[in-house]
Order: sequence, then structure tokens, then C-alpha cells
Amino acid sequence: MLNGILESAIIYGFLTIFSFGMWVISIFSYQKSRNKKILFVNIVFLLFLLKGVLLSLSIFLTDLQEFLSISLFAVFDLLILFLLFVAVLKKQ
Amino acid sequence: MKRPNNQRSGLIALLIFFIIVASISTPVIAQDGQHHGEGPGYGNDINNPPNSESNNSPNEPSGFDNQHNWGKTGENQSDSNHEQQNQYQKQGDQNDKGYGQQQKRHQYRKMNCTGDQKQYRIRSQWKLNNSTDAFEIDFTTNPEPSLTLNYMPTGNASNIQLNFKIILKKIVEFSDLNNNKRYDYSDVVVSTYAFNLQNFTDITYSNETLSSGENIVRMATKTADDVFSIDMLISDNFTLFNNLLISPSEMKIDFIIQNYLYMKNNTQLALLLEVNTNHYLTIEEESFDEKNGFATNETAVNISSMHYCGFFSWLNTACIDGSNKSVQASVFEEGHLGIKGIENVTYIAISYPRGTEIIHDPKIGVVSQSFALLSLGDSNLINLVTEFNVYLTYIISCVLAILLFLGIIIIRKRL
Repeated sequence: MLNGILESAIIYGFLTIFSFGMWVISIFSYQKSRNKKILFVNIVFLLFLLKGVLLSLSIFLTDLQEFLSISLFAVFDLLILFLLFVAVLKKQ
Repeated sequence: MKRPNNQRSGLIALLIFFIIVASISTPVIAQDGQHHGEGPGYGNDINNPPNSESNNSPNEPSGFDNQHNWGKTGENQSDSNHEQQNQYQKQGDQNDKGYGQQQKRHQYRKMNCTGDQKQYRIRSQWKLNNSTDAFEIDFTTNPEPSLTLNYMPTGNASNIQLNFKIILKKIVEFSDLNNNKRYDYSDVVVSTYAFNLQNFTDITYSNETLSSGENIVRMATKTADDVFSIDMLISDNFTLFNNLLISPSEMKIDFIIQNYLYMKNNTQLALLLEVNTNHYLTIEEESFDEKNGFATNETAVNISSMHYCGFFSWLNTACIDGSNKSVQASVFEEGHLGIKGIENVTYIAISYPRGTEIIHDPKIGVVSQSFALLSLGDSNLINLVTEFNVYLTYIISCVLAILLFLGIIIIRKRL
């Protein structure tokens, strides 16, 4: 349990809070501008938030760790990359 | 008109988030606490508290890749090895003295053993205040000798977080064509001694209490022709046994090869082991025991899950016909057709200098969470480093992150 878990708790905490904050800001930004690019970025932050919440829960729910594999997080990263790719390439 | 509405909805979203986090986190901690001490218990409790009275009672490897090799070159390094052994012994003494009675009590593990002539399971559980963990080692000789280690950080048998299996496949007699003293893809196999084709004697089991108070459990088996023997030993606390410091979270194993019928001169033997695990496997030239001062001159294969780590380690020397000589190890992967298609299987080949009697001391074990508390040595301090502390660290990190985030926003607005 304590094998590097305190460090993980700090990193996961920051990841969750920052992604949540950025997600909220991107919602406001989208409401203000109605720019579709920001909508994709919004989803990116939502995925980061989801990842942060899952990682945070994995610290306390040891049963959850069985389902959280590197492959699952790689899928998250791939989705994030794809959404950023779309956001960059999308025309205004 | 729009801006105040947005700010209000933002505040509501923030409030909802904290309510969700608070509602999730509280039962999580409560649930974790309920798991403590839920081990199934396998009967045959061979333990007593430390101060109480005792009771006595396959195919040839081909297409190697990802190969790693270690070990010293040079055939006979007996002098330096004797020196190392002496240093090791001294260090062992120091370590043993270094662990006071209170600290040893903190490391005490309760052992249970069940099994029959062909299979034994040892469960070793550690419990201190609200912290607990357990590991189980299954040893079987059918169809070939194997050791399976399961680690349960909550002590609950249904919550296995680390699992790996070491299978003893065969002894290989090989001609070391490239003269690197180890068995690898470029060497020629002269003969093999496959364990799945051998009859193993019934596993003998005994437990005893040492004069220092620790309980030890010993298991042994050998092939019917006496060529290969396995002796295993596990203790419920740190103990010095035959001048070797044994940690309670590991099992010491002796592989003994005697009177192997060599088919050629100038050949040597290698013991081929298979490692089965779904976790990450890394090779370390310094074992966990070495890092913690429990041993010297070891090499290890570490098996790590997200938060936990186990190991299979071995001394870099073996006793060959009475003198210590260096052993060489190679780790390689081989593709096999499995249920899920081609699956990579990891093999460890431990190569020994030629000899009539070869005795080698590997270990299998886990990095128990009890070691994180070892250096503290005080039960009040130990209480601080619990799951609650992790929970607290997480909350503090979240608060810090919020302050930092809001600080950046405010600074940005002012600029």
C-alpha cells in the first residue's frame, strides 16, 4: 500500500483538480465563443478529469486496481490525442 | 446578464464536485478498514507469539530476444567469495542486532501451512494496529516443481494484488561455445533433465522454534534418483539461520544438483526456470534485500504491479563441490502459442560452473508494506503512516492544487 503511494496521491490530486478547473474554464469559454475547437478541448479536459478520478479512486479502492491497466490509460491517451488532433485541424 | 449566470453555474459545479468527492471518499475509507484481518485461515496454525512455547513437529529455447546477462566473469573466485560471505555474515549479525525486540515484534508474521505430499501452501500474515497484509506461497511438484506467490495487501484472500509463478523446467547440460560461462542461444545443448519427466518424492514438512524465538517452516523434496533436491525455509520474523539473514516476507530456497550424469567433458549445467506473471518484470543487479542491508551480492527479477512488488532473487555465488564460485544468469523471452495467440514467456537460466555437487540459494518474496514502517520502529509513528495518511495526503494535495489553480487565475486576471 505504501510503495510510492503517497507520491501517487499527490500527483493524482493535482491531476484531478487541475483537469477539473480547466474543464470548467473551457465550458465557460465555449459558452462565450461557441467555437467548436474549444468543445473538443473541453472533452479533452473531461477525459483528463475522468482519468484523474479513476487514478484517485484506485488509491483507496484496491479492488479497482484490477480493472485499471496501463492499456486502459493508453486508450484514454489515444482519445485525448485524437481529440486534440481534431481540435487543431478543425476549421473555424 | 450572461456573465453572472456563468459564474453562478461554475460555483454550483464546483460545489457538486466537492460533494461527490466527499461522498465517495468517506465510504472508501470505511470499506478499506473493514477488510483488515479478513484472511481465511488455512488451519494447522504452526505459530505461536514470539515469546511463547514452541511446537515441533519443454522445448529447447529458440529465437531468444530481450536477453539480459549478469554475473562476474572468471571461473574461480573462491577467495573473494569467501570474503564476501564473511562480510555478509558480519552484516547479518549487525542487522540482527540492529533490529530491536520492539522492531522485530513489528515484523512478526503469523504463518499457516496446509497441504499434502504433492502440494503445500504457506500463508504468512502481518498485522500491526490497523495495518495488515498477507502473502501465500504454493509449492507443488506436479507436474513439475513450481512456486506460486500471491500477495494480498489487505490480508483478504479475495484481494490478490500481485501474483507470479516460478516453474522449474529442466537442467540443461551445455557446451559454452562463446565461452561466456552462461547458457544462451549460441550454446549447444548436450543433454537435458526435464523435471516434468521425473518422479519427485513426497514433500516433507517440519516446523521448529529456534533458540532466538522465531518459528521456521521447512519443506523439502527431491527427485527419485537424488539428482535434484529442493529445500525451502520460511520464518515468521527476521532470523539468522546458518549465518544467513532471512526476512519474514520471503522464502529461502536451496537448489541442490548432485551426481549429474554429464554426457561430455568440458560442459556445464544451467537450471532453466519459467516466470509466469501478468505484471511487469524487471531485472535488478541489486535485490530488495541488498538495498535494505539484509543481503549482499544478489541479483533479482522484480515483478511489479501498480503499487506492489515481489521478487525472485539469487546469490551470485553457488557452492560447487565445497567452494564458492560465481554463477551466471540469463533472462530471455520466448514466443509460445497460447490461448490468446502468441504469448511471451520469460525464462531465467542460472548457469553453474561444472561440479559434482552444486548448491545454490535463491529466494522468493514480496516487498511487504511492513517494511515501509520498519525504519520508524515506534508504534505511535507507525500509526501515522496508514491508509488515513494517504487519504490526508490526497486531500491536502487537492487543497493545494485548488489554491494554486485559483492563484494562477487571479494573477492572470490582474495582469
